[in-house]
Amino acid sequence: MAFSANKHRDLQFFYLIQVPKKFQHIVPGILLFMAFWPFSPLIHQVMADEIDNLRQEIQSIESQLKQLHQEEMALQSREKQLSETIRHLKEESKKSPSFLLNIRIEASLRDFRDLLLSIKEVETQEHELEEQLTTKRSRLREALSQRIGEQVKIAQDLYRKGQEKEADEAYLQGLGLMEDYKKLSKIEINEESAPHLIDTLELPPLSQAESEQLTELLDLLLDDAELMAKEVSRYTEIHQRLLQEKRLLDQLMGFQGVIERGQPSSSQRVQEIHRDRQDLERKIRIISQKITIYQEREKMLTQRARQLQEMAKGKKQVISPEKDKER
Amino acid sequence: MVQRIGLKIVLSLVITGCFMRSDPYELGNRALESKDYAKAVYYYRLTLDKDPSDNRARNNLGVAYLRNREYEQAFKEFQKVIALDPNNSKVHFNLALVYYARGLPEQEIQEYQNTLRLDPEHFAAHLNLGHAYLAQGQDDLASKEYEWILEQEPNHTQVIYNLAMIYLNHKREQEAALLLEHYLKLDPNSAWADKAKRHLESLKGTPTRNQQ
Repeated sequence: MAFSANKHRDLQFFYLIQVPKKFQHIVPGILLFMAFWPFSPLIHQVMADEIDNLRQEIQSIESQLKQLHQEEMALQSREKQLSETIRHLKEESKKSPSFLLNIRIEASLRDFRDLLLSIKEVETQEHELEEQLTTKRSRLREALSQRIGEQVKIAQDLYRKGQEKEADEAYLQGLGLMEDYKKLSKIEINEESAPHLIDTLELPPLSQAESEQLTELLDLLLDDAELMAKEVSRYTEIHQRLLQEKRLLDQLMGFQGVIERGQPSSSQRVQEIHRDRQDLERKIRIISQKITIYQEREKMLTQRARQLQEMAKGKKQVISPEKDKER
Repeated sequence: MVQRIGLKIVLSLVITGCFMRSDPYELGNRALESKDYAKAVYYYRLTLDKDPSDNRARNNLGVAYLRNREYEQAFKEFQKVIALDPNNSKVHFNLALVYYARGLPEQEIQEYQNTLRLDPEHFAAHLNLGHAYLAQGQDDLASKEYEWILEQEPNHTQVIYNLAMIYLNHKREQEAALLLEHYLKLDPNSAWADKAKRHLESLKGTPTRNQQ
Protein backbone atom coordinates (compact mmCIF):
# COMPACT_ATOMS: atom_id res chain seq x y z
CA MET A 1 0.00 0.00 0.00
CA ALA A 2 2.77 2.37 1.02
CA PHE A 3 4.63 1.60 -2.13
CA SER A 4 1.65 2.43 -4.36
CA ALA A 5 1.02 5.67 -2.47
CA ASN A 6 4.60 6.74 -3.07
CA LYS A 7 4.30 5.81 -6.66
CA HIS A 8 1.20 7.94 -6.93
CA ARG A 9 3.01 10.89 -5.34
CA ASP A 10 5.90 10.45 -7.80
CA LEU A 11 3.44 10.60 -10.62
CA GLN A 12 1.92 13.80 -9.30
CA PHE A 13 5.38 15.31 -8.93
CA PHE A 14 6.08 14.48 -12.54
CA TYR A 15 2.95 16.40 -13.54
CA LEU A 16 3.82 19.36 -11.36
CA ILE A 17 7.12 19.97 -13.06
CA GLN A 18 5.73 19.44 -16.55
CA VAL A 19 2.26 20.95 -16.63
CA PRO A 20 0.55 23.92 -14.96
CA LYS A 21 -1.74 22.76 -12.18
CA LYS A 22 -5.01 23.77 -13.82
CA PHE A 23 -4.26 21.59 -16.87
CA GLN A 24 -3.11 18.56 -14.93
CA HIS A 25 -6.45 16.80 -15.10
CA ILE A 26 -6.42 16.68 -18.88
CA VAL A 27 -2.89 15.25 -19.16
CA PRO A 28 -3.89 11.58 -18.94
CA GLY A 29 -6.50 12.13 -21.65
CA ILE A 30 -3.99 13.84 -23.94
CA LEU A 31 -1.40 11.12 -23.31
CA LEU A 32 -3.96 8.43 -24.08
CA PHE A 33 -5.04 10.23 -27.23
CA MET A 34 -1.41 10.60 -28.34
CA ALA A 35 -0.75 6.96 -27.63
CA PHE A 36 -3.74 5.70 -29.59
CA TRP A 37 -4.00 8.34 -32.30
CA PRO A 38 -1.53 6.63 -34.68
CA PHE A 39 -3.62 3.47 -34.33
CA SER A 40 -7.00 5.08 -35.01
CA PRO A 41 -7.29 3.68 -38.58
CA LEU A 42 -6.53 0.29 -37.04
CA ILE A 43 -9.29 0.81 -34.44
CA HIS A 44 -11.76 1.68 -37.23
CA GLN A 45 -10.74 -1.45 -39.08
CA VAL A 46 -11.24 -3.57 -35.96
CA MET A 47 -14.71 -2.06 -35.50
CA ALA A 48 -15.61 -2.70 -39.14
CA ASP A 49 -14.39 -6.29 -38.81
CA GLU A 50 -16.47 -6.76 -35.67
CA ILE A 51 -19.59 -5.53 -37.49
CA ASP A 52 -18.92 -7.82 -40.45
CA ASN A 53 -18.31 -10.78 -38.17
CA LEU A 54 -21.49 -10.13 -36.20
CA ARG A 55 -23.49 -9.81 -39.41
CA GLN A 56 -22.12 -13.12 -40.66
CA GLU A 57 -22.83 -14.81 -37.35
CA ILE A 58 -26.41 -13.50 -37.35
CA GLN A 59 -26.92 -14.71 -40.90
CA SER A 60 -25.57 -18.12 -39.97
CA ILE A 61 -27.82 -18.39 -36.89
CA GLU A 62 -30.83 -17.36 -38.94
CA SER A 63 -30.17 -20.03 -41.53
CA GLN A 64 -29.59 -22.65 -38.79
CA LEU A 65 -32.90 -21.65 -37.23
CA LYS A 66 -34.68 -22.02 -40.53
CA GLN A 67 -33.20 -25.48 -40.98
CA LEU A 68 -34.13 -26.50 -37.44
CA HIS A 69 -37.66 -25.28 -37.93
CA GLN A 70 -38.03 -27.45 -41.03
CA GLU A 71 -36.59 -30.37 -39.11
CA GLU A 72 -39.07 -29.79 -36.29
CA MET A 73 -41.99 -29.71 -38.70
CA ALA A 74 -40.84 -33.00 -40.25
CA LEU A 75 -40.48 -34.60 -36.82
CA GLN A 76 -43.91 -33.38 -35.79
CA SER A 77 -45.46 -34.80 -38.89
CA ARG A 78 -43.75 -38.15 -38.10
CA GLU A 79 -45.08 -37.84 -34.53
CA LYS A 80 -48.58 -37.52 -35.87
CA GLN A 81 -48.22 -40.55 -38.13
CA LEU A 82 -46.72 -42.71 -35.40
CA SER A 83 -49.41 -41.68 -32.98
CA GLU A 84 -52.05 -42.76 -35.47
CA THR A 85 -50.29 -46.10 -35.91
CA ILE A 86 -50.18 -46.69 -32.15
CA ARG A 87 -53.84 -45.82 -31.79
CA HIS A 88 -54.71 -48.20 -34.62
CA LEU A 89 -52.61 -51.01 -33.15
CA LYS A 90 -54.21 -50.54 -29.74
CA GLU A 91 -57.68 -50.76 -31.21
CA GLU A 92 -56.75 -53.95 -33.05
CA SER A 93 -55.19 -55.35 -29.91
CA LYS A 94 -58.43 -54.76 -28.02
CA LYS A 95 -60.44 -56.58 -30.65
CA SER A 96 -58.09 -59.52 -31.05
CA PRO A 97 -55.13 -59.47 -28.65
CA SER A 98 -51.98 -61.19 -29.84
CA PHE A 99 -48.37 -61.46 -28.79
CA LEU A 100 -47.19 -60.06 -32.10
CA LEU A 101 -49.44 -57.01 -31.80
CA ASN A 102 -48.13 -56.34 -28.29
CA ILE A 103 -44.57 -56.46 -29.59
CA ARG A 104 -45.47 -54.03 -32.37
CA ILE A 105 -47.14 -51.68 -29.90
CA GLU A 106 -44.13 -51.83 -27.62
CA ALA A 107 -41.75 -51.08 -30.52
CA SER A 108 -43.90 -48.21 -31.76
CA LEU A 109 -44.00 -46.72 -28.27
CA ARG A 110 -40.23 -46.87 -28.08
CA ASP A 111 -40.02 -45.12 -31.46
CA PHE A 112 -42.48 -42.57 -30.19
CA ARG A 113 -40.42 -41.87 -27.12
CA ASP A 114 -37.28 -41.46 -29.24
CA LEU A 115 -39.17 -39.12 -31.49
CA LEU A 116 -40.27 -37.01 -28.56
CA LEU A 117 -36.66 -36.83 -27.42
CA SER A 118 -35.59 -35.66 -30.87
CA ILE A 119 -38.32 -33.00 -30.97
CA LYS A 120 -37.32 -31.79 -27.56
CA GLU A 121 -33.69 -31.60 -28.62
CA VAL A 122 -34.60 -29.56 -31.69
CA GLU A 123 -36.78 -27.24 -29.60
CA THR A 124 -33.98 -26.76 -27.08
CA GLN A 125 -31.52 -25.96 -29.87
CA GLU A 126 -34.02 -23.50 -31.38
CA HIS A 127 -34.48 -21.82 -28.03
CA GLU A 128 -30.72 -21.51 -27.53
CA LEU A 129 -30.24 -20.13 -31.02
CA GLU A 130 -33.04 -17.58 -30.54
CA GLU A 131 -31.30 -16.40 -27.38
CA GLN A 132 -27.96 -16.21 -29.20
CA LEU A 133 -29.62 -14.25 -31.98
CA THR A 134 -31.02 -11.70 -29.53
CA THR A 135 -27.59 -11.25 -27.94
CA LYS A 136 -25.80 -10.92 -31.29
CA ARG A 137 -28.36 -8.42 -32.56
CA SER A 138 -27.97 -6.30 -29.49
CA ARG A 139 -24.15 -6.44 -29.82
CA LEU A 140 -24.40 -5.47 -33.48
CA ARG A 141 -26.63 -2.57 -32.53
CA GLU A 142 -24.05 -1.34 -30.05
CA ALA A 143 -21.21 -1.76 -32.53
CA LEU A 144 -23.18 0.06 -35.23
CA SER A 145 -24.06 2.89 -32.89
CA GLN A 146 -20.37 3.41 -32.15
CA ARG A 147 -19.37 3.02 -35.77
CA ILE A 148 -21.92 5.56 -37.07
CA GLY A 149 -20.30 8.42 -35.15
CA GLU A 150 -16.83 7.32 -36.29
CA GLN A 151 -17.95 7.03 -39.90
CA VAL A 152 -19.37 10.56 -39.98
CA LYS A 153 -16.11 11.87 -38.45
CA ILE A 154 -14.09 10.06 -41.12
CA ALA A 155 -16.28 11.57 -43.85
CA GLN A 156 -15.94 15.05 -42.34
CA ASP A 157 -12.14 14.73 -42.16
CA LEU A 158 -12.03 13.63 -45.79
CA TYR A 159 -14.19 16.55 -46.81
CA ARG A 160 -12.04 19.02 -44.87
CA LYS A 161 -8.96 17.63 -46.62
CA GLY A 162 -10.65 18.33 -49.98
CA GLN A 163 -11.32 14.67 -50.81
CA GLU A 164 -14.96 15.28 -51.65
CA LYS A 165 -15.60 12.14 -53.66
CA GLU A 166 -14.25 9.91 -50.91
CA ALA A 167 -16.17 11.98 -48.33
CA ASP A 168 -19.41 11.44 -50.28
CA GLU A 169 -18.89 7.69 -50.18
CA ALA A 170 -18.08 7.78 -46.48
CA TYR A 171 -21.19 9.88 -45.73
CA LEU A 172 -23.41 7.44 -47.57
CA GLN A 173 -21.83 4.54 -45.72
CA GLY A 174 -22.66 6.39 -42.50
CA LEU A 175 -26.27 6.81 -43.56
CA GLY A 176 -26.40 3.12 -44.51
CA LEU A 177 -25.14 2.19 -41.05
CA MET A 178 -27.84 4.36 -39.46
CA GLU A 179 -30.47 2.51 -41.47
CA ASP A 180 -29.02 -0.86 -40.49
CA TYR A 181 -29.22 0.29 -36.89
CA LYS A 182 -32.85 1.23 -37.38
CA LYS A 183 -33.67 -2.17 -38.89
CA LEU A 184 -32.09 -3.85 -35.89
CA SER A 185 -34.24 -1.74 -33.57
CA LYS A 186 -37.37 -3.20 -35.14
CA ILE A 187 -38.91 -6.16 -33.39
CA GLU A 188 -38.02 -9.19 -35.47
CA ILE A 189 -40.04 -12.31 -35.09
CA ASN A 190 -39.69 -15.77 -36.51
CA GLU A 191 -42.20 -15.56 -39.34
CA GLU A 192 -42.54 -19.34 -39.61
CA SER A 193 -45.80 -20.53 -38.17
CA ALA A 194 -45.65 -22.21 -34.80
CA PRO A 195 -45.44 -25.99 -34.74
CA HIS A 196 -48.93 -27.43 -34.81
CA LEU A 197 -50.35 -28.77 -31.62
CA ILE A 198 -50.72 -32.53 -31.55
CA ASP A 199 -52.56 -33.88 -28.58
CA THR A 200 -51.33 -37.39 -29.11
CA LEU A 201 -48.89 -37.87 -26.37
CA GLU A 202 -49.49 -41.53 -25.61
CA LEU A 203 -48.31 -43.05 -22.39
CA PRO A 204 -47.08 -46.61 -22.28
CA PRO A 205 -49.34 -49.07 -20.46
CA LEU A 206 -48.37 -49.31 -16.79
CA SER A 207 -47.96 -53.05 -16.84
CA GLN A 208 -45.36 -52.88 -19.58
CA ALA A 209 -43.52 -49.79 -18.43
CA GLU A 210 -40.38 -50.19 -16.43
CA SER A 211 -39.73 -47.63 -13.71
CA GLU A 212 -36.60 -46.38 -15.51
CA GLN A 213 -38.64 -45.72 -18.65
CA LEU A 214 -41.26 -43.89 -16.64
CA THR A 215 -38.72 -41.65 -14.95
CA GLU A 216 -37.10 -40.89 -18.28
CA LEU A 217 -40.42 -40.00 -19.85
CA LEU A 218 -41.43 -37.91 -16.85
CA ASP A 219 -38.21 -35.90 -17.03
CA LEU A 220 -38.73 -35.42 -20.73
CA LEU A 221 -42.25 -34.13 -20.28
CA LEU A 222 -41.31 -31.77 -17.47
CA ASP A 223 -38.32 -30.38 -19.36
CA ASP A 224 -40.44 -29.86 -22.43
CA ALA A 225 -43.15 -28.15 -20.41
CA GLU A 226 -40.55 -25.86 -18.88
CA LEU A 227 -39.22 -25.00 -22.33
CA MET A 228 -42.73 -24.22 -23.52
CA ALA A 229 -43.26 -21.96 -20.49
CA LYS A 230 -40.07 -20.08 -21.39
CA GLU A 231 -41.27 -19.69 -24.97
CA VAL A 232 -44.63 -18.41 -23.76
CA SER A 233 -43.00 -15.80 -21.56
CA ARG A 234 -40.59 -14.73 -24.34
CA TYR A 235 -43.41 -14.39 -26.85
CA THR A 236 -45.64 -12.62 -24.35
CA GLU A 237 -42.93 -10.00 -23.90
CA ILE A 238 -42.60 -9.55 -27.67
CA HIS A 239 -46.39 -9.37 -27.92
CA GLN A 240 -46.47 -6.55 -25.36
CA ARG A 241 -43.80 -4.60 -27.22
CA LEU A 242 -45.63 -5.01 -30.53
CA LEU A 243 -48.90 -3.84 -28.98
CA GLN A 244 -47.13 -0.84 -27.50
CA GLU A 245 -45.67 0.07 -30.92
CA LYS A 246 -49.07 -0.28 -32.54
CA ARG A 247 -50.64 1.87 -29.85
CA LEU A 248 -48.06 4.56 -30.56
CA LEU A 249 -48.76 4.47 -34.29
CA ASP A 250 -52.50 4.66 -33.71
CA GLN A 251 -51.95 7.56 -31.36
CA LEU A 252 -49.95 9.48 -33.98
CA MET A 253 -53.01 9.84 -36.16
CA GLY A 254 -54.81 11.59 -33.33
CA PHE A 255 -52.30 14.43 -33.08
CA GLN A 256 -51.78 17.43 -35.32
CA GLY A 257 -48.62 17.99 -37.33
CA VAL A 258 -46.73 15.01 -35.94
CA ILE A 259 -46.70 13.01 -39.13
CA GLU A 260 -46.01 15.88 -41.51
CA ARG A 261 -43.37 17.64 -39.43
CA GLY A 262 -41.17 19.70 -41.72
CA GLN A 263 -42.19 17.89 -44.86
CA PRO A 264 -44.01 19.45 -47.78
CA SER A 265 -46.25 16.42 -48.18
CA SER A 266 -47.27 13.95 -45.53
CA SER A 267 -48.95 11.42 -47.81
CA GLN A 268 -45.79 9.35 -48.14
CA ARG A 269 -45.33 9.20 -44.38
CA VAL A 270 -49.00 8.35 -43.88
CA GLN A 271 -48.57 5.45 -46.29
CA GLU A 272 -45.45 4.31 -44.45
CA ILE A 273 -47.24 4.46 -41.13
CA HIS A 274 -50.12 2.50 -42.61
CA ARG A 275 -47.66 -0.15 -43.85
CA ASP A 276 -45.88 -0.27 -40.49
CA ARG A 277 -49.23 -0.68 -38.79
CA GLN A 278 -50.22 -3.57 -41.06
CA ASP A 279 -46.84 -5.19 -40.46
CA LEU A 280 -47.30 -4.87 -36.71
CA GLU A 281 -50.80 -6.33 -36.91
CA ARG A 282 -49.49 -9.32 -38.87
CA LYS A 283 -46.70 -9.86 -36.34
CA ILE A 284 -49.14 -9.56 -33.44
CA ARG A 285 -51.35 -12.20 -35.08
CA ILE A 286 -48.46 -14.63 -35.54
CA ILE A 287 -47.20 -14.11 -32.00
CA SER A 288 -50.67 -14.51 -30.47
CA GLN A 289 -51.05 -17.77 -32.35
CA LYS A 290 -47.67 -18.98 -31.11
CA ILE A 291 -48.49 -18.03 -27.53
CA THR A 292 -51.75 -19.98 -27.67
CA ILE A 293 -50.10 -23.04 -29.17
CA TYR A 294 -47.20 -23.04 -26.73
CA GLN A 295 -49.55 -22.48 -23.80
CA GLU A 296 -51.68 -25.42 -24.88
CA ARG A 297 -48.63 -27.56 -25.37
CA GLU A 298 -47.28 -26.65 -21.97
CA LYS A 299 -50.64 -27.45 -20.39
CA MET A 300 -50.83 -30.78 -22.14
CA LEU A 301 -47.27 -31.75 -21.22
CA THR A 302 -47.81 -30.84 -17.57
CA GLN A 303 -51.03 -32.82 -17.50
CA ARG A 304 -49.32 -35.88 -18.94
CA ALA A 305 -46.42 -35.52 -16.53
CA ARG A 306 -48.89 -35.48 -13.64
CA GLN A 307 -50.58 -38.64 -14.98
CA LEU A 308 -47.21 -40.26 -15.27
CA GLN A 309 -46.31 -39.37 -11.71
CA GLU A 310 -49.55 -40.96 -10.54
CA MET A 311 -48.74 -44.02 -12.60
CA ALA A 312 -45.29 -44.26 -11.09
CA LYS A 313 -46.75 -44.14 -7.61
CA GLY A 314 -49.11 -46.94 -8.68
CA LYS A 315 -52.06 -44.98 -7.35
CA LYS A 316 -53.94 -44.76 -10.59
CA GLN A 317 -54.60 -46.78 -13.69
CA VAL A 318 -53.36 -45.63 -17.09
CA ILE A 319 -55.83 -43.08 -18.39
CA SER A 320 -55.64 -41.54 -21.78
CA PRO A 321 -57.49 -38.20 -22.21
CA GLU A 322 -60.09 -39.80 -24.47
CA LYS A 323 -60.89 -42.37 -21.80
CA ASP A 324 -61.07 -39.61 -19.25
CA LYS A 325 -63.80 -37.96 -21.29
CA GLU A 326 -65.67 -41.25 -21.66
CA ARG A 327 -65.85 -41.60 -17.89
CA MET B 1 -30.38 67.85 -61.22
CA VAL B 2 -33.55 65.82 -60.66
CA GLN B 3 -33.06 64.21 -64.06
CA ARG B 4 -29.50 63.22 -63.12
CA ILE B 5 -30.65 61.62 -59.87
CA GLY B 6 -33.42 59.79 -61.72
CA LEU B 7 -30.94 58.56 -64.30
CA LYS B 8 -28.58 57.36 -61.57
CA ILE B 9 -31.40 55.44 -59.86
CA VAL B 10 -32.47 53.81 -63.11
CA LEU B 11 -28.88 52.91 -63.94
CA SER B 12 -28.21 51.43 -60.53
CA LEU B 13 -31.41 49.38 -60.75
CA VAL B 14 -30.42 48.06 -64.18
CA ILE B 15 -26.91 47.22 -62.96
CA THR B 16 -28.24 45.51 -59.82
CA GLY B 17 -30.79 43.66 -61.96
CA CYS B 18 -28.08 42.47 -64.31
CA PHE B 19 -25.91 41.42 -61.40
CA MET B 20 -28.80 39.61 -59.71
CA ARG B 21 -29.64 37.88 -62.94
CA SER B 22 -26.15 36.57 -63.36
CA ASP B 23 -25.61 35.67 -59.70
CA PRO B 24 -26.24 31.92 -59.63
CA TYR B 25 -26.84 31.93 -55.86
CA GLU B 26 -29.73 34.41 -56.21
CA LEU B 27 -31.05 32.50 -59.20
CA GLY B 28 -30.90 29.35 -57.10
CA ASN B 29 -32.88 31.07 -54.35
CA ARG B 30 -35.51 32.16 -56.82
CA ALA B 31 -35.77 28.68 -58.26
CA LEU B 32 -36.09 27.28 -54.74
CA GLU B 33 -38.89 29.72 -53.94
CA SER B 34 -40.74 28.80 -57.13
CA LYS B 35 -40.28 25.09 -56.25
CA ASP B 36 -38.17 24.41 -59.33
CA TYR B 37 -35.77 22.22 -57.41
CA ALA B 38 -33.80 20.88 -60.37
CA LYS B 39 -33.03 24.43 -61.46
CA ALA B 40 -32.16 25.41 -57.89
CA VAL B 41 -29.73 22.50 -57.66
CA TYR B 42 -28.16 23.59 -60.96
CA TYR B 43 -27.57 27.18 -59.77
CA TYR B 44 -26.32 26.25 -56.34
CA ARG B 45 -23.92 23.80 -57.94
CA LEU B 46 -22.69 26.62 -60.19
CA THR B 47 -22.13 28.77 -57.11
CA LEU B 48 -20.23 25.99 -55.39
CA ASP B 49 -18.06 25.36 -58.46
CA LYS B 50 -16.79 28.92 -58.02
CA ASP B 51 -16.44 28.67 -54.24
CA PRO B 52 -16.79 25.21 -52.69
CA SER B 53 -16.64 26.71 -49.21
CA ASP B 54 -19.82 28.79 -49.70
CA ASN B 55 -21.87 27.27 -46.89
CA ARG B 56 -24.98 29.32 -47.64
CA ALA B 57 -25.17 27.85 -51.13
CA ARG B 58 -24.39 24.37 -49.85
CA ASN B 59 -27.08 24.57 -47.20
CA ASN B 60 -29.62 25.74 -49.77
CA LEU B 61 -28.49 23.00 -52.13
CA GLY B 62 -29.28 20.57 -49.34
CA VAL B 63 -32.69 22.19 -48.88
CA ALA B 64 -33.41 21.84 -52.62
CA TYR B 65 -32.51 18.16 -52.44
CA LEU B 66 -34.57 17.72 -49.29
CA ARG B 67 -37.65 19.30 -50.84
CA ASN B 68 -37.14 17.19 -53.95
CA ARG B 69 -37.00 14.11 -51.69
CA GLU B 70 -33.42 13.33 -52.65
CA TYR B 71 -32.54 12.56 -49.09
CA GLU B 72 -29.13 10.98 -49.57
CA GLN B 73 -27.93 14.04 -51.48
CA ALA B 74 -29.42 16.36 -48.88
CA PHE B 75 -27.76 14.36 -46.11
CA LYS B 76 -24.33 14.70 -47.75
CA GLU B 77 -24.65 18.44 -48.31
CA PHE B 78 -25.83 19.21 -44.79
CA GLN B 79 -23.06 17.09 -43.33
CA LYS B 80 -20.51 18.99 -45.41
CA VAL B 81 -21.79 22.30 -44.07
CA ILE B 82 -21.50 20.90 -40.54
CA ALA B 83 -17.94 19.73 -41.28
CA LEU B 84 -16.93 23.35 -41.94
CA ASP B 85 -19.38 25.09 -39.62
CA PRO B 86 -20.37 22.77 -36.77
CA ASN B 87 -22.15 25.55 -34.88
CA ASN B 88 -24.65 26.30 -37.61
CA SER B 89 -27.98 25.61 -35.90
CA LYS B 90 -30.02 25.83 -39.10
CA VAL B 91 -28.08 23.01 -40.76
CA HIS B 92 -28.54 20.78 -37.73
CA PHE B 93 -32.26 21.44 -37.99
CA ASN B 94 -32.26 20.63 -41.71
CA LEU B 95 -30.34 17.45 -41.05
CA ALA B 96 -32.97 16.48 -38.49
CA LEU B 97 -35.57 16.77 -41.27
CA VAL B 98 -33.53 14.40 -43.44
CA TYR B 99 -33.41 11.91 -40.60
CA TYR B 100 -37.16 12.24 -40.14
CA ALA B 101 -37.73 11.60 -43.84
CA ARG B 102 -35.51 8.49 -43.64
CA GLY B 103 -37.35 7.26 -40.55
CA LEU B 104 -34.39 7.61 -38.17
CA PRO B 105 -36.03 9.01 -35.02
CA GLU B 106 -33.06 8.71 -32.67
CA GLN B 107 -30.80 10.72 -34.98
CA GLU B 108 -33.63 13.15 -35.69
CA ILE B 109 -34.12 13.91 -32.00
CA GLN B 110 -30.38 14.27 -31.50
CA GLU B 111 -30.18 16.88 -34.28
CA TYR B 112 -33.09 18.90 -32.86
CA GLN B 113 -31.28 18.82 -29.54
CA ASN B 114 -28.10 20.02 -31.28
CA THR B 115 -30.09 22.82 -32.90
CA LEU B 116 -31.47 23.92 -29.54
CA ARG B 117 -28.05 23.71 -27.89
CA LEU B 118 -26.81 26.22 -30.45
CA ASP B 119 -29.99 28.27 -30.65
CA PRO B 120 -32.26 27.75 -27.62
CA GLU B 121 -34.98 29.90 -29.17
CA HIS B 122 -35.29 27.90 -32.40
CA PHE B 123 -39.08 27.71 -32.59
CA ALA B 124 -39.42 25.02 -35.25
CA ALA B 125 -36.87 22.83 -33.47
CA HIS B 126 -38.92 23.00 -30.25
CA LEU B 127 -42.08 22.20 -32.20
CA ASN B 128 -40.62 19.29 -34.15
CA LEU B 129 -38.82 17.96 -31.10
CA GLY B 130 -42.18 17.91 -29.33
CA HIS B 131 -43.66 16.00 -32.26
CA ALA B 132 -40.71 13.60 -32.37
CA TYR B 133 -40.92 12.86 -28.64
CA LEU B 134 -44.63 12.25 -29.00
CA ALA B 135 -44.02 9.79 -31.82
CA GLN B 136 -41.61 7.94 -29.54
CA GLY B 137 -44.18 7.78 -26.76
CA GLN B 138 -42.19 10.21 -24.60
CA ASP B 139 -45.20 12.29 -23.64
CA ASP B 140 -43.54 14.09 -20.74
CA LEU B 141 -40.72 15.43 -22.88
CA ALA B 142 -43.18 16.30 -25.65
CA SER B 143 -45.29 18.27 -23.15
CA LYS B 144 -42.27 20.33 -22.11
CA GLU B 145 -41.54 21.32 -25.70
CA TYR B 146 -45.20 22.13 -26.40
CA GLU B 147 -45.45 24.16 -23.20
CA TRP B 148 -42.41 26.18 -24.33
CA ILE B 149 -44.15 26.83 -27.65
CA LEU B 150 -47.31 28.04 -25.91
CA GLU B 151 -45.28 30.41 -23.77
CA GLN B 152 -44.01 32.02 -26.98
CA GLU B 153 -47.16 31.66 -28.99
CA PRO B 154 -50.27 31.10 -26.84
CA ASN B 155 -52.56 30.69 -29.84
CA HIS B 156 -50.64 27.95 -31.64
CA THR B 157 -53.64 25.75 -32.46
CA GLN B 158 -51.67 22.61 -33.38
CA VAL B 159 -49.82 22.64 -30.07
CA ILE B 160 -52.91 23.51 -28.02
CA TYR B 161 -54.71 20.52 -29.50
CA ASN B 162 -51.79 18.12 -29.04
CA LEU B 163 -51.14 19.22 -25.49
CA ALA B 164 -54.84 18.77 -24.71
CA MET B 165 -54.62 15.22 -26.05
CA ILE B 166 -51.54 14.48 -23.95
CA TYR B 167 -53.26 15.84 -20.82
CA LEU B 168 -56.30 13.76 -21.70
CA ASN B 169 -54.20 10.60 -21.98
CA HIS B 170 -52.63 11.36 -18.63
CA LYS B 171 -55.96 12.01 -16.89
CA ARG B 172 -55.29 15.73 -16.44
CA GLU B 173 -58.86 16.31 -17.47
CA GLN B 174 -59.44 19.86 -16.26
CA GLU B 175 -56.38 21.19 -18.05
CA ALA B 176 -57.33 19.23 -21.15
CA ALA B 177 -60.86 20.71 -21.09
CA LEU B 178 -59.52 24.26 -20.75
CA LEU B 179 -57.14 23.77 -23.65
CA LEU B 180 -59.86 22.24 -25.82
CA GLU B 181 -62.18 25.16 -25.11
CA HIS B 182 -59.40 27.58 -26.02
CA TYR B 183 -58.72 25.54 -29.17
CA LEU B 184 -62.35 25.69 -30.25
CA LYS B 185 -62.37 29.46 -29.93
CA LEU B 186 -59.39 29.68 -32.28
CA ASP B 187 -60.39 26.94 -34.72
CA PRO B 188 -64.14 26.33 -34.50
CA ASN B 189 -64.82 24.87 -37.94
CA SER B 190 -62.13 22.39 -39.00
CA ALA B 191 -62.26 18.60 -38.93
CA TRP B 192 -60.00 18.72 -35.88
CA ALA B 193 -62.54 21.03 -34.22
CA ASP B 194 -65.14 18.26 -34.52
CA LYS B 195 -62.80 15.90 -32.76
CA ALA B 196 -62.06 18.52 -30.11
CA LYS B 197 -65.80 18.99 -29.53
CA ARG B 198 -66.29 15.26 -29.09
CA HIS B 199 -63.44 15.06 -26.58
CA LEU B 200 -64.83 18.03 -24.71
CA GLU B 201 -68.30 16.50 -24.65
CA SER B 202 -66.98 13.26 -23.26
CA LEU B 203 -64.98 15.18 -20.66
CA LYS B 204 -67.98 17.14 -19.50
CA GLY B 205 -70.30 14.20 -19.79
CA THR B 206 -72.91 16.14 -21.77
CA PRO B 207 -73.02 17.32 -25.38
CA THR B 208 -71.59 20.81 -25.89
CA ARG B 209 -74.67 21.84 -27.87
CA ASN B 210 -76.94 21.19 -24.86
CA GLN B 211 -74.74 23.29 -22.65
CA GLN B 212 -74.92 26.15 -25.08
